[in-house]
Formats: sequence, C-alpha cells, structure tokens
Amino acid sequence: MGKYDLLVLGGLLALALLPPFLTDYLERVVTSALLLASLALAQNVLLGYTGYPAFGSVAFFGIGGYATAVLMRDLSLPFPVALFGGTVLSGVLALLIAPPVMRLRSHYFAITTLALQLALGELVANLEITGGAQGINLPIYRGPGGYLLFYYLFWALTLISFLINAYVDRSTFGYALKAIREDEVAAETLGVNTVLFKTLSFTLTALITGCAGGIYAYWITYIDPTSMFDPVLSVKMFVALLVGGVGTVSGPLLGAFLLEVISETLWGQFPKVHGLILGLLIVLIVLIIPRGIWRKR
Amino acid sequence: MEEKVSLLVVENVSKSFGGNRVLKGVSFSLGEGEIIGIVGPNGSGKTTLLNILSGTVRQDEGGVFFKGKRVDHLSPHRRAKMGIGRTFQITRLFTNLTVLENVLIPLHYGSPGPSGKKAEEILDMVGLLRMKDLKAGSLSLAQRKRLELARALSLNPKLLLLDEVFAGLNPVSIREILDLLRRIHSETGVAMVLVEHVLKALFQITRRVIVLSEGRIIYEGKPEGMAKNQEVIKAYLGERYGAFRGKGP
Repeated sequence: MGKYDLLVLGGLLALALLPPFLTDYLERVVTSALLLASLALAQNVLLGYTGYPAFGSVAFFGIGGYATAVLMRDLSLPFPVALFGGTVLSGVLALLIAPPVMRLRSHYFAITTLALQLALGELVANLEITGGAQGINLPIYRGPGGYLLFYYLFWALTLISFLINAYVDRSTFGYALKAIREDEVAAETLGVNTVLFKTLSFTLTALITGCAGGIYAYWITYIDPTSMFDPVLSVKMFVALLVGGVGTVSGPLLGAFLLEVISETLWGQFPKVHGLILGLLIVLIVLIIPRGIWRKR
Repeated sequence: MEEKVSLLVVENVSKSFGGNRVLKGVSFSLGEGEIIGIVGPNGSGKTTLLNILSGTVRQDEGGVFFKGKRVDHLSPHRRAKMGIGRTFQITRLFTNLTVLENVLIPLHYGSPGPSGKKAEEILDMVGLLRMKDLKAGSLSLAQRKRLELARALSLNPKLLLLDEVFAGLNPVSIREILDLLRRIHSETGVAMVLVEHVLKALFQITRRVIVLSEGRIIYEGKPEGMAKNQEVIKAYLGERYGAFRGKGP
C-alpha cells in the first residue's frame, strides 16, 4: 500500500469517529456513500485487477438481500446469522456459475452478468418465498445505536473491502489476477491457473456485494425486486469506479464519496434537473480525467 | 542397452478450423537439449503446431507426449509447470506491469522454489536487469523479445517453444538474440523448438529442420538438405531459389 493509500485508509478509519458530529441527514448520506464504496471496491477486484466487467454483479446484491430477509422472516434467525447466510449463499452461487460465465470475455461477459441480474430479478418477482412483486417487510431495528448500526456495518464492510483491495494490489494472488487482466493466454502459458483465479475473483466480488445487499435489506426494512436488482445501482457503482480510478486501491472509495456528495448536493439545489447536471458532470470528469482522480494525482 | 526416452513426441497430430485442415498427421520427436527448427510458408500450420504443444489449442487427432507422459489433455498452465515455456509471434507481455513483475509471475505460479533473487538473475541473463522497474509496454521490440524469453526461462523449462523470435529485428538484434539463445542452451541445456522465417539465423543454431507445407511435413533433416529437396523448393523456397541453390540458404 502506497503512502497516499495509507492516508486514505486513515481517513476511512476516522469516519468511525464522525457520527456524533453528523445530523441524521448527513449520517444517511455517509451511510449511502459507504454502501456505494463497498460495492465499487468489490467490483474493483473483478474489473480493476482481473479485467472482467460484471455489469450485473448487483445480482449478488439482490441474492444477499433476499436471502438475509427470507432467513430472518421464515426461520426467525437473528440478523447476524441471516446476514452470514445471505453472504455465503451469494458466494456459493458465484462459485457455481463462475466456471461457465467466466469463459466469456469483455462485453460478452458484461452482458451475461447483466442478463443474470435481470433473470434473477424476474425469478424473485415470481416466487412465493420471496414475496413476489410485493417484496418482503423486515422488522425495524430497535436495538442500541438505532440506525447508526448500519452506518458502522457499511463502514466495516468498506474497510474490509479496502483492505482486500490493498492485499490484491501487492500480493502474489493479485499478480495472478493482473496477469489475467493483461493477457489471459500469456498468463495461462506462464503457469497461472486462470480458471481458478477468475473464479476466486468473481466469488470475492460476490461475497462483498452479497453482504452489502444483506445489510441494505435490513437498513431499509422493505425490499422488492425493483430495489434489489436495480440496474441504476450497477451504473452508479461503475461510475464511482471510473471517476475514482479503476485498478487502484483508493480510487473506488474516493469515487463513491465524490459521486454521492455531488449527487446529494445537486439533488438539494436542483431537484428537477439534478440527474441531467449529474450526467453532464460525469461525462466531463471522464473526458478530462479518463483514468480517474486517483491516477491523476 | 538403455533406450533413450525422447523429451517430446508428437504423434500423428491433426487439426482443423472449420473446414480448413491446418495440420495433417504431423509426427516428430525431440531429444533432451536438442534444438529443432520448424519452417514453412505462411499458413502451413507452424504456429498452430506450437499452440498445440503449449496447450492453447487442442488437436483433433493424435497425441503429444512430454517426458514420456501424455500431455495433450492438460491445460497450458499445467504444461508450463511441467517445464514447457513459450514465446509468441507477436509479443504478449503484461504491458502495464514492470519488467520485474513480468518475470515474477511465472516464478510465483509456474516454477517451484524461491523467486525474488532468481528473477533478477534471469533478467541479468537476458540483459534487462537495469530496466527491471520500467513498464514492459515501454520496451523496444528487441527488448520485448528478450523479456518474453526471460519469462519463459522463469518456468525453469526443459523445452522452449519460440515463435518467430527473430521476426522484425535488425541484423544487430538478431545477432544478440542468437548469442543469447546459444548461451541459454549451453547454460541450461534446454531443448528448443524454433518456428522461424529468418533461415540464416535459424541455421546457425539448429542442425535439424522440419518443413511444413499445407499442414504436413514435407522435409525433415539437416538444413543443407532443404535446398536440394524439390518439394521444399516448390512449396517454400521458390523456383527462383532452386536455380541459385548452389549459393546456399
């Protein structure tokens, strides 16, 4: 981890001390930014280091969220156990579908994961156990700390995701992923078991994304297929990654916070045209610094 | 008397892409430490043969045996770990990684044992040690070819498959790569299969050549015999060459 990454890590750790100084509104904004950061960091392992753009990785967000909700509702499991179950299920699903899906490359892979996201959304909308299109209501958390619990859960998940990215960036495991990103055929002929490492990368991304989905489900207490398999979330995640810097440790985190802050500010100032202005800003940022703010430093 | 086992045996290998049959029953063998050249006109199946040996392409028929074991069902990474290293016709470096990182990857994943110091030793051998922190994408063509060789050497190979290693190089660079290959061979004893068009350079390092034409072997033997073979003259060297063959390749 470089010295600038250490500075960002220090900033991330300092966020743990921030809640007493935040209003309820700002606490929600930072929680949303942390959610987006964890998703962008998860995607960074797959896209940034392995070179595979999973446009539909939000499928695992939905799986994690729904599995957590169903386990809490039907089996009356406590939230931590249900969250663990939802996370593991996302990982297992990724492990099972990775070998065939990761034979595809580039846009073929991206479109396939998007199809997976849409197909799972449709499936969930038509199953009784998932509440169909009506979704699932979850009990409101009334324990110590109130909604601050979700702030800290997303903070912890972002911290873990950041540390995973830092590990991938410098480890031999990361070298294998980077070799695949650079040239998969060459990597294979140099002894890298590409199927194994692509599967691990995909599963790691799915585990983090699924865990974020589980926390999100309990945070908003009501989930339906539209909110849990939302393509807009995929877009936001990719924009955060592009703005921050693909394949960097700190870029996705900074990109997520920058996007969330700009988005909230514009929403407050220009409620009718904030989407248009945000879109233009994103286009400008990508044009001016195509490799992201972190690579521009 | 003890029978000498060949390092590599290629047995009746055939391969088609759609309706195009690019290899037709190719068979040959290679002893330990031996250097063989594979030549032939464009589209004769040379690179496909190399791809089949390294495992990036599967043959339709026939078999490939390495150190007495059948390997044609194995993935390229498993063959790499067994000691088959290769370079590519158009270099396939990890261009966004440093020169050192390019060598560290096969050392971590393809070869047993410690890697840090070994990587620098290999880079020193190919003359790239002082460039170890540069991005591989910033290297010249000759340096890229050296780095590909270094990466293949990191596998501690018993067999090197070199695809047009001299292509695109100027005479000075060809001489340097030739010297490097000789040094590698004398220091490591590695066997080599060179697919090559630069015959002048090839014939300085090998005493055995296979000529492929339209997917089948039309000549196997000493380089000097090539120029006297009518089928080789017709398919590869050209009729004009045949008229001047007294001058050598």
